[in-house]
Amino acid sequence: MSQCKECQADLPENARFCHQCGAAVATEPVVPAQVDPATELDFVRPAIAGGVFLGLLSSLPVLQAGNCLCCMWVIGGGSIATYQLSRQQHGRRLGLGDGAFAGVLSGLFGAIIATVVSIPIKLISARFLQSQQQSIEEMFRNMPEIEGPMRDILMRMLSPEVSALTVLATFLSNLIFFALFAMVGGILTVAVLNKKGGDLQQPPPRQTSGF
Amino acid sequence: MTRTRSYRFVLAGSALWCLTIIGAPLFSAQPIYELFSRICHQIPERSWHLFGAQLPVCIRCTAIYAGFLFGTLMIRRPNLIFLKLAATTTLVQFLIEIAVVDYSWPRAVTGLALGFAVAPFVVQGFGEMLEKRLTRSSEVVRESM
Repeated sequence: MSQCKECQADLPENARFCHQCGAAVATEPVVPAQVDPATELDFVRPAIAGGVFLGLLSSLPVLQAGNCLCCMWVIGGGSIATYQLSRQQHGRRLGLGDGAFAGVLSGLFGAIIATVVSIPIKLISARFLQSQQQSIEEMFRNMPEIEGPMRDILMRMLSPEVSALTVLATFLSNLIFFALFAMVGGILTVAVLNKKGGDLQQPPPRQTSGF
Repeated sequence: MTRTRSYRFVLAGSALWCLTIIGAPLFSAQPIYELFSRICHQIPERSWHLFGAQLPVCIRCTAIYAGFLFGTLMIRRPNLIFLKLAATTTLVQFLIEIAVVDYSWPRAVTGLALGFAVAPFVVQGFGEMLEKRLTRSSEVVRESM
């Protein structure tokens, strides 16, 4: 129970005036949970975490096939980055733009990691693939439904060749797809996280890190 | 860049994306097939064919991208319930096709709905991201001058 600041009389809850002296009761305005506007979001660490996840899973043999399911690993990497970012927000919601940016950054990191990791994997598998080259060609001869550009692509994917051009092409395609799909993952994660904490709404403007 | 510009950018990008998919079999463009092989299994039986040639992505992916283009054109307000419904339906359909029966039209319908539901979120998120980053960049430039 609060007291009147003028006459010290006990006041009932939610009283706007003192019933003894008639003085107005100062009420404290309800301030919505807000973080110091100077607080900066660190996008880099969450993006690295998401990038490592999606980069490794997108480059490891067999596991990389998961990306054939709607770019599962890439979208997952963007989601991880955004989830990590949301943990920096003490009681405040992220904007969809923050999720998008965290996703794009994780996609960029992931593209670098996937390209770097795929080089030794390709070199290790080269000897095995060279020894299996004849049986691979035989296999394609027995699969007439795979023809035209598809056959050429599969042959190239299974070829042990590692050149600067193939590495560059891999990196550029990774860069485009990973950044785009990880961005989608980041945006959708923010949408889901925001709904868990209430309605989807725009966060207040604030400063962000130098990125 | 204003929200309208970022919207136009997403719209143009998704239209170009769909045109690339449709154009690949027309021109037998191998680099496009190779590019899309990174994000789709490209199994011939699970893909549509145009003029006798396979599209560079499967039926579900084609439907998702087409749905995204339509969603960008037709909806402006993100709807989380619709998104969850579309995602759940796609997941259920995926499990049914593994366990019970697999037809191409449910894959197309669920993919179309998913792309349609995702589009307004991406449009809004992309717009917000560009707005914030460009504002931040102009602040940095102003501070350095």
